[in-house]
Amino acid sequence: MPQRPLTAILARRLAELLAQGLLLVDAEGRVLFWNEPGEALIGRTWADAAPVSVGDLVDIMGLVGEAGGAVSADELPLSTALAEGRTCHRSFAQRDGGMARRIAMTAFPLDAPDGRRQGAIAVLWDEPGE
Amino acid sequence: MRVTLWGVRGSLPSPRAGTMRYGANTSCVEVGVTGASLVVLDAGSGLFRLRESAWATASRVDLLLTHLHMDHVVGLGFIADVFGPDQELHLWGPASPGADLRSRLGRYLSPPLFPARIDDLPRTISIHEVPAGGMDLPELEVRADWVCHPGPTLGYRLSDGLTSVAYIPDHEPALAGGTRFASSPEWTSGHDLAEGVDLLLHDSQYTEAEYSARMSWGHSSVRDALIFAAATGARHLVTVHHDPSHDDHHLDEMLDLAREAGPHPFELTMGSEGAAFELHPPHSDR
Repeated sequence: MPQRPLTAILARRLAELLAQGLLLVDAEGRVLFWNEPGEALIGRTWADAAPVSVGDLVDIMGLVGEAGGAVSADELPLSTALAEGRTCHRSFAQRDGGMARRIAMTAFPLDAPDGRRQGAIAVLWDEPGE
Repeated sequence: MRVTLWGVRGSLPSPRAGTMRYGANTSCVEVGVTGASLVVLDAGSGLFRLRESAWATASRVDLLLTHLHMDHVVGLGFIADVFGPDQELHLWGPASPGADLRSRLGRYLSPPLFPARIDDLPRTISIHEVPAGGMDLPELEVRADWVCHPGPTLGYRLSDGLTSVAYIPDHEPALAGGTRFASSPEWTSGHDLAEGVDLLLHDSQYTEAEYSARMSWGHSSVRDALIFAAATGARHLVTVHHDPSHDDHHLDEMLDLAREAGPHPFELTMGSEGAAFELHPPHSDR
């Protein structure tokens, strides 16, 4: 396995040390890591995760739109960050057994100093209901 | 390929009676194959000593900067004293999202920090930002990648097709890797640059005690440099970027401790100014 880009290496290191839920993907949308605080929100440990891509996250996390409608992978902030190179935020409802909660996600691209897109990172949190 | 060290000190030139054996000049390394062209790695104060090199008059010189910290660029102001007007000079350095390389170098090469501006230097220099992944030079293939150090910082791997040298003088791989440092090549900063290289010039500034108080400063302990060299399969580790406070006696002690931590799967040398290394393919007649 070739070495990961430095931005990914440093992002993972940071994610391991933070109390916020963080999820890291590579430039092709393959999930590289999510941290322990993120596991509680994603619903699965990173160690148990099979190779996962951004496209799998909707189902893994049980996400639906805030009004209850289906959510496509393209609507995830991570997808926007990768495709458009900008920071993006969105809130979702999450099916968790019989309970519903709101999950907020903000993602931004990881671009090297030379401008190459090397991935994206998302911070996740439990958004209190109104 | 011949590799000659003209500056192995980090942070600050440190001339004094006790530093003459390993040297006092900051980072500068010469790499050549036939002498028709020359690659210079970093332009610390050691650049001035390049005048002593038989290859300093090569018709084309490519000067590769790892980053723009002062100890790696201070020699640029005196580049006209090293290279003549008939030599083709190319200066390469890391890209940055904020400003182009010429502008960033101009922060040093302009008043009040320097009496002349970069465009006023009595030499024509072509300035390039290193393209993603590296580039091919007349006699050497150059691979470049970002490494863990404050600010945009590159490591380089040079190859003539038969032998290779990796130059990572400012590097803190343990900070980036954490518990996976060196055990997971995928997650080790600089790994692919140094993998299986014949000669590895690597940051080894601190003792373990010093490093524990200087984590995140961007430099490596000798111990972590040894671990990195073993993990990447380098054949010969040359420690560079010596701390300005370490005199020759202290460096001797650091080398002894490093040797005692062996045996190592690589040759180990404490880098010193003027040292030259002739690289030969494995199993070649020498």
